[in-house]
Amino acid sequence: MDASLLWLIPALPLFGAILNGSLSLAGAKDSYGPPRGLVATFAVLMPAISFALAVAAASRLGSLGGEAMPPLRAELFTWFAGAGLDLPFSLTIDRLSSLMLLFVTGIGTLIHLYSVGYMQEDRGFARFMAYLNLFMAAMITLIMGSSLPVTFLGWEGVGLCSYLLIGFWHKTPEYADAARKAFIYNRVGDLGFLLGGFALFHVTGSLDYAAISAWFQSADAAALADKRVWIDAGLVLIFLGCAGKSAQIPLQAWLPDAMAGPTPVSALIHAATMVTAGVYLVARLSDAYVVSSTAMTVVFTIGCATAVWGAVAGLVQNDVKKALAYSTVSQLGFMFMAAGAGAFDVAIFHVFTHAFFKAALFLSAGAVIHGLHHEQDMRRMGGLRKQLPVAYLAMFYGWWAITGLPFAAAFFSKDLILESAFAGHVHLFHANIAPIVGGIALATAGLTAVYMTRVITLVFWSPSRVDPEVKHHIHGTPMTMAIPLIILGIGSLVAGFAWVGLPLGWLGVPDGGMAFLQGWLAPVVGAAQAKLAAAATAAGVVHGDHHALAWTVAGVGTLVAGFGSFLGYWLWRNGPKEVPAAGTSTAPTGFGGGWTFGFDKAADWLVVKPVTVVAFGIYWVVELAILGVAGWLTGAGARALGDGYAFALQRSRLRTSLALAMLGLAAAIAALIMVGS
Amino acid sequence: MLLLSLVLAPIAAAAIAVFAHGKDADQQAGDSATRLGLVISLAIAVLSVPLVLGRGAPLDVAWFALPGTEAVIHLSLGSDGISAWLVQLVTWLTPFAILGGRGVAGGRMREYLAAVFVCEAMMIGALLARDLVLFYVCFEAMLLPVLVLLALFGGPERRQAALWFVLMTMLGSVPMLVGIWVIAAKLGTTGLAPAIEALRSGHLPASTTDWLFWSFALAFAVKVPLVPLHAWQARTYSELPGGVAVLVAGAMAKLGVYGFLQFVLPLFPEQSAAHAQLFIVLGVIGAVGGAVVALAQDDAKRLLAYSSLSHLGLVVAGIFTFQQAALAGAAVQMVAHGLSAAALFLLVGAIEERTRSPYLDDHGAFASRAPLFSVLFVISALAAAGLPGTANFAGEFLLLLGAWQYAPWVAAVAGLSVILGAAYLLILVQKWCYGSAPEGRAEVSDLTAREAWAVVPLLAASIWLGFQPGVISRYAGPSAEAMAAPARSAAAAVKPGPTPAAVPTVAPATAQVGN
Repeated sequence: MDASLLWLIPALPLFGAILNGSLSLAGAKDSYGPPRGLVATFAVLMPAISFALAVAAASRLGSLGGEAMPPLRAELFTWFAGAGLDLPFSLTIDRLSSLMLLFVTGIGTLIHLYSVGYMQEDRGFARFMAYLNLFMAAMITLIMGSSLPVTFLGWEGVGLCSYLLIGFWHKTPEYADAARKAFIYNRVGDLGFLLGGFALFHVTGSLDYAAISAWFQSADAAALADKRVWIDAGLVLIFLGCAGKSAQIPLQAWLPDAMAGPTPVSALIHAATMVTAGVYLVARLSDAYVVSSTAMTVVFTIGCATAVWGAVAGLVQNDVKKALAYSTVSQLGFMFMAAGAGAFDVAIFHVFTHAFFKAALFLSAGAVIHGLHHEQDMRRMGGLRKQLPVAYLAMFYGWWAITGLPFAAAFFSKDLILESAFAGHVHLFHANIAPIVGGIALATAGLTAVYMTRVITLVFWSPSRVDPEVKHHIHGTPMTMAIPLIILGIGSLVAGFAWVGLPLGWLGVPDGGMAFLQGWLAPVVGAAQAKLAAAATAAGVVHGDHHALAWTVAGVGTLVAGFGSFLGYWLWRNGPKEVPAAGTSTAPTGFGGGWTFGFDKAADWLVVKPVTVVAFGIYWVVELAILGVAGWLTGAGARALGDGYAFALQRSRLRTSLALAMLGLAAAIAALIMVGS
Repeated sequence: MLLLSLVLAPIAAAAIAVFAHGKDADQQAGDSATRLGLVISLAIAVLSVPLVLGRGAPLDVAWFALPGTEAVIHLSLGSDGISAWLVQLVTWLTPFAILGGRGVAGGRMREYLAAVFVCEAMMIGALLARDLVLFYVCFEAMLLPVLVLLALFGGPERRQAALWFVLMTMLGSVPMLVGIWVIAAKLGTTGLAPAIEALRSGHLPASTTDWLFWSFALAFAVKVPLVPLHAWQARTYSELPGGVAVLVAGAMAKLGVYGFLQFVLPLFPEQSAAHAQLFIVLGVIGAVGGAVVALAQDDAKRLLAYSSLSHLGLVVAGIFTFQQAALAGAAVQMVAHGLSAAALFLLVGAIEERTRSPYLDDHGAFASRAPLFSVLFVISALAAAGLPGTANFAGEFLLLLGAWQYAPWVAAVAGLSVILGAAYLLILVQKWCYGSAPEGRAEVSDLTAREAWAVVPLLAASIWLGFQPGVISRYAGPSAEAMAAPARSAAAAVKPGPTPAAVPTVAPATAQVGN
């Protein structure tokens, strides 16, 4: 894998997108559409090859536990030039982007395969696969971009694909609304991204990540103090962009609505990959973030608030996909909490494990929905273990992983987040809020266990409430769907070991022991984390025994998770209080509704309604009334002067008109000459 | 001679169209006229390409004396990065205006061709003229063919539209005529370079120069248009057939911006610097206000008109920041907006031709009923919304960067137009492409090959320039900078920093970007 081949990794899925898009358009008039086998082969093959290339590229970054090799970098062409800003379009694979790339292309390929089964009967199969491939291309560009603008290209590209896929079934107006909402919420964040980028450009004189990191690593206190306002503002603005993409308060309201898209989309884009791009960007800019305690505090507190809000909202949902969506919002909050506390590697670790277990949960929810003929209301499910064994297995593994029970994925990643919060130093009004927030986070972790157990109990463990009619016609899970489910289910169980690396140690890999992932990411985020630790030491902060803290958090965390799981099962073991009729709204009511939709209401009253009023106000009052009257007066004056020569033209033929025009020109020139004499 | 032939070629083409034989009403004759026009316009476009490579020797021939003054009007033509790229825009959009007009022109294709070619000639003339009188004549004369087209092929409200269009643009440019007259009489020259030289050496009292500045600025502000002189725009655009709108919205509006760059800034640097904030504020009001008002439109063409108001407002604001990035961005964005606006007007025009309705609520579900239209429409809308990978993003990115370097609040406020732009364009897309078709509406046939080919190259160009904006900015950027340089020095001389008291750490306006 040579650096000159890096462009193939995003280009292959892009090629697949163009190919399948063309096939879809060419077959638009056909009643069946283009041949599915051909479409599916291309669609799955392209990201699969990208995955293989990503593996090859990762192997060039140093062996497991071995010495770090320099990043692979390829400049493809000059993007901006001649504007005081010379920016190459370049791609980089370093330790951070290779990790992201591996699970994005790997899990992405699996979800493509799953989609082949899930979307088989849909008329827009080729279009769907084209969009998915386009998404892969954009997401890979986002990850591999060496500079903020290249990342931004992918950033808005994934937003576009998210828009197209949420509104995939565009005949339903609500789905199209949800798609538009997602795009506009993201655009708000994207403006923050742009402006924040400008601020960093002003500070460092570059938009390239390597140069930005180098500037922040070498800047002395005077330089930092000089640019303090710009650094703080720029990083908070960039975090606004991350909040938009990764559904954090106050821009989180689009993600639950995004569940309007087909379930593989929810799994791929709105759980495993795209929504974690914000965490990736913060980690990518870790050298910058660590010098701004303001920005770190914002990231940390917003992350915590979102984690709590999402967990409570997840508890009151009736729609299985919505419950998982709020869970995603909450988990993303956990990731930002880790990043805000300065544990960027832990944040990325949770991104990694979350990709497995949330994809498994969504895909198994998809298998259930597929099986029950598009039923998404958990109150109308239950007892599906026998009928949908593969889906059950995958959800069980996913549930095990997310609750934090030993020894599945989140047992490691979430405990590390709690630990980094308790040990962190995040200041708000000169007080260290990290331990308090850590306490809140611990409680939220318990809540996670409750709502997730509620989901699996309502779907699989409680007595069946499925319509007898449907019950006799449950769709089985086809092989294309079963294989990804099983792989991701097992992945959720073992992904956590990427941090501790135990199996690698057993396999005889040198240094495959503790903190394997930490070591892998150290060349990218290690300097920033070391700087934070050094600052804490210099400030004379007395550390408790970290070793003891780790074991305490692990123990207490497990107890909380176990208790939460038990509570979730106990409360819902008999199913919901009442089973609604088919077609009833799944939207939560009462307190749940208020909690869930509060932000939507606020946005509606604070932004949407005022803007609408202003828009129509300006249009009717200024544009039509004031300017209209002024124009009418002028027009009346002109008409009084002559019969409006413009309208005389209308009655004549063009040749006459043109003759007149030339005459007029001549007259104008003659007049000019004569006036002068 | 290249420059002169570029001006004369479209006039010759117009003459061919006017005097060619053949029955107008004959469909075949119309088609053959279209083919002829297409070939000629493409030939002219190809002929104009050497301009962007820096070719085209300036031409300067004494023409006639302006009696009563010492001034001699010169047939003076020249080219630079900005002129060259805007000429590309004009010449390359003309074939699309011809293709897009085939449907609406029906049996009067030759008339349509003649007017379009005259319009092209006048725009090229205005862009290459280096003599104020020559510029003025072309600048005014380009209105006539548009009026003819409006009268022949316009919508039901065309009388009203024509009145607004003529009155406002004429009222705007009459003071400029007087201004040019004053320059000729007092300075004894109408050549652009000599006039700049004479004005710089301070032959005129400051009060006269102030007045001259406003007389020029007013004409161009109406043309762009800038708030509050935009009342003609929505009214005119909504009556223009799609093909003509390609020329007017795609190319002609840029003549106003061009006027600011080529004439106002170099002739009146002190005044430009002194009033820069006003123009930035007006530009930003246009950028954000236009986008807000676009949200309230129920007519697609009016929506696109307000969208143009929004995009060009940002360009004018960018120019008056005098920042390197913003000036290059202005050049890129003018071309980019020309491409995306042309594509959108052509597509909306195609639907209007079929259904006689440009209204948002009258259509729906084109995604399934007219898939080819929908694909192109969505891509055009996304380009107009400035999605990265399109030329519009490159332009907006550089403009906002320059605005940020001037003062962060300008970028932050103007940036709202980027969010709002996504909102109104996606509303348009959603209403027309998604949902279900409104009841009682007849089937709409998908785009024909001719209509599709009138849009695809525009979008391809937009995407290519999205990744290679340097093609424009390498040549046009330095030209624009040279035009703005005197004003930038004047701004730096007046006050130490462009944002007094706001943020003291802002780099001075003269500082180079990226150090």
